[in-house]
Amino acid sequence: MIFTISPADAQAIQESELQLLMAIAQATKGMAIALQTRQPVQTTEPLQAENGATPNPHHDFRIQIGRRLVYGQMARGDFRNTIDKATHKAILEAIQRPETPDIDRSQYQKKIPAIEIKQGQEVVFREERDGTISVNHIQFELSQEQSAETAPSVTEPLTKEAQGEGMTEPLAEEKPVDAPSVEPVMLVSDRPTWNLPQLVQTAEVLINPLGTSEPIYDAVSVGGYEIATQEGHLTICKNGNTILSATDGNVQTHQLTQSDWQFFQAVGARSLQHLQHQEQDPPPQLEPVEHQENGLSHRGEENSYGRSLPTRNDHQPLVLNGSARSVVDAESLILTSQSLSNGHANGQLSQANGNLKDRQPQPQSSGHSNGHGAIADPLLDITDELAQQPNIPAALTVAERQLEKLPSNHTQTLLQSTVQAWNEQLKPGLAKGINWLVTKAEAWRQHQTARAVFELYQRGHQRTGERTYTIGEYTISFRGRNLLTLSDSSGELMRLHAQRMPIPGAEHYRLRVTAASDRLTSFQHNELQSFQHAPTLMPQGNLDVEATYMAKVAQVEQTVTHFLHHHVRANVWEREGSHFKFERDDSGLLRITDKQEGRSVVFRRHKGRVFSRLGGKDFAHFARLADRMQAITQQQAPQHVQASPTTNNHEVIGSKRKGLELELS
Amino acid sequence: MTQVLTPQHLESWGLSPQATSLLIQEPELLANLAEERERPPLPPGYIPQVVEVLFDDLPYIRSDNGIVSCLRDCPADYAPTFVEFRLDGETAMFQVGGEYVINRMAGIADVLALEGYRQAGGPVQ
Repeated sequence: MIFTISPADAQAIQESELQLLMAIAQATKGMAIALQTRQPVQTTEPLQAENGATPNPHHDFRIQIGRRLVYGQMARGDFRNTIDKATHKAILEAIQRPETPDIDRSQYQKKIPAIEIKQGQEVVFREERDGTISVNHIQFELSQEQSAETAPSVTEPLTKEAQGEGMTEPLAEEKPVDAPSVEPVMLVSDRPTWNLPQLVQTAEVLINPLGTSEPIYDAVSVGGYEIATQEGHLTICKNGNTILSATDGNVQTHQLTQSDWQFFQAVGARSLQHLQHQEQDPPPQLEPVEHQENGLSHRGEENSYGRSLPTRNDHQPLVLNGSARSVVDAESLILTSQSLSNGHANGQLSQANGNLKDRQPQPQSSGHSNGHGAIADPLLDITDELAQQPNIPAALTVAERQLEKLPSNHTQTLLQSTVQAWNEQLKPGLAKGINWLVTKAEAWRQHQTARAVFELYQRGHQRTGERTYTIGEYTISFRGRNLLTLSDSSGELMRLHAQRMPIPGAEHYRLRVTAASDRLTSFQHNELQSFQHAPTLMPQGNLDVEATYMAKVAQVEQTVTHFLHHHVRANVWEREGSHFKFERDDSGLLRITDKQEGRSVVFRRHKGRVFSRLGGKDFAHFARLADRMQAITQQQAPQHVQASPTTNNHEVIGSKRKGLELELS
Repeated sequence: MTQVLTPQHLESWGLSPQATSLLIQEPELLANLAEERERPPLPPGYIPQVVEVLFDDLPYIRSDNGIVSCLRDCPADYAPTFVEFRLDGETAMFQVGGEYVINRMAGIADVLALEGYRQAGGPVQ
């Protein structure tokens, strides 16, 4: 299930761990209802509580960081919440990442996760220690500012109309499409058991499983249905078509089918079972949270080690009451969160509550909150992050700071120098950072070249937003989600994967060279890195190339027209041994024919249409001609006044105009 | 079965009361550290392929063959209680506050220091 969050809510979630916990609780609860038949993900962690009691699958919501439980019921029965600012940030960023595709989950069996979130016995999110997202059933996605339907895609294939006449490749024939199987729309008389309010209620439960006054999610996608709500208006869409809309009890259906009804009926039944289960097994009663001042129970008090000590008696899980719908006691959450996080429950309750209800949309500052989806096109991510000034990643600064605390010895020196070297690696424009861990010089050189390739690509992409750029003799292409290739006229030279790292500033992508050709020479390594360090050197995209080409062609056209008009004063010019033949007429035709290399017509303008196969050598040739004409014009200017103009438009063969023979031969 | 360790168990570790009180709150972590402490020091000359730096048991930095390959963002003022360096998946150094709970890297560091290793000295060939 993908839960869509508005930018305003996303901002709130970023700022408050309470909001984050609410959002995760909503997502896990909704998922539990919708996907109750899903097989639990196998984990190596003991799922049974150590006191022998089987955890209630609907009430225990646990977050584990590595080997540490940071939120949830501990084995000995205490409830723990040690989510601090850093943990909050890590969890929030992690759950926005989609499951890593094509992974072998068995390799992570019996391994400790980086982050794991469980709803009961089911793992709803799991990040492995190598950064792989092996499970994410609660993926948050920020709502798009611009719908996908209206946003142009750079990868969208050209339509026939858009390709224009310049296309020489034949269009692939459209394959016949099988007639879609159309499910009959149910007539009113065919659906005696339909209960539209119940269906609407089921949809509401899915989008707002905890029944809060204002659902956190704007939309939820489940079973192929998009359920969205906006200002009290609920819609259910399937395949982009609205099949149901409801406002203030007024329900309208459009092409609702039997399978749609069956789906929501089944989900509704599961939801009912879910609620009945809760009523049979009520959660612990809420008790006012007391602000404890003594010893370990004071969560907000930091000891000399700079760490807040966890509360021992703060048993305040996410609470569901036993009413007809799942309702979370938001106040209890606020109390719990506030008291656990800063020890000012009473004083800050109203403020926190106000934040929850009255928050206003705010400008997004984070890369995750920029209005693009969390799994938006990596190209957009690249562009967005380029706008940020590079700085030292905080994790390295934190590591340096912590290592300073160690006793001074060789271990401390080694670790400090290692972190310092990593720091150097991430500074832009510097090829430093070699450290004792780098055992292969070739690997280091490839990494530096990969960085150069990636930065050159970013430089071009930031300017024109394309996927292919040329610089020097090289072509850099971005394919798929994260693949970059470097090639020259002979083929591919390097292939690398750029994986986004959730960190602002410095280097944002993990670069992994997956293939490097033996043809990639030391000279090329150095050349690419020199390109990287020349900030004014700009890779050219297709748009650049096309624009530049058309400008050069226009220059040739102008040169030849000027030559025919003013120098030979004829409609046709060619000479024995000359490279080209020029032709024009009064209808606007201009034709340049290659006489030496068998290319026939290399340029033609006729009735407003331009054909050109002029190349680099041709441009150089005509540039020389233009220069020569200009020089001659300047030399002959005084004589030109006296010369009688020739106005006949006859064919001129073997013009002997002085000064042009060399250039045109 | 997780071994339940008490402050008395930790007396032999030579840690301060503050460090002990912090560790004792993390039973799973503590039990794992007790096992890791039993491992022998890493051999001098050993050069790992993968180095991970964990703050409070969450990986924040990873390097493959000496090159930073993963970074996780964190608040600039983050003061993690636990810092761990894992080499090729094994705990090599574990730090609480300013104290080593585990230091299996001493041999590596001593040999590199004897060899006159300098950061700018270039890769080990």
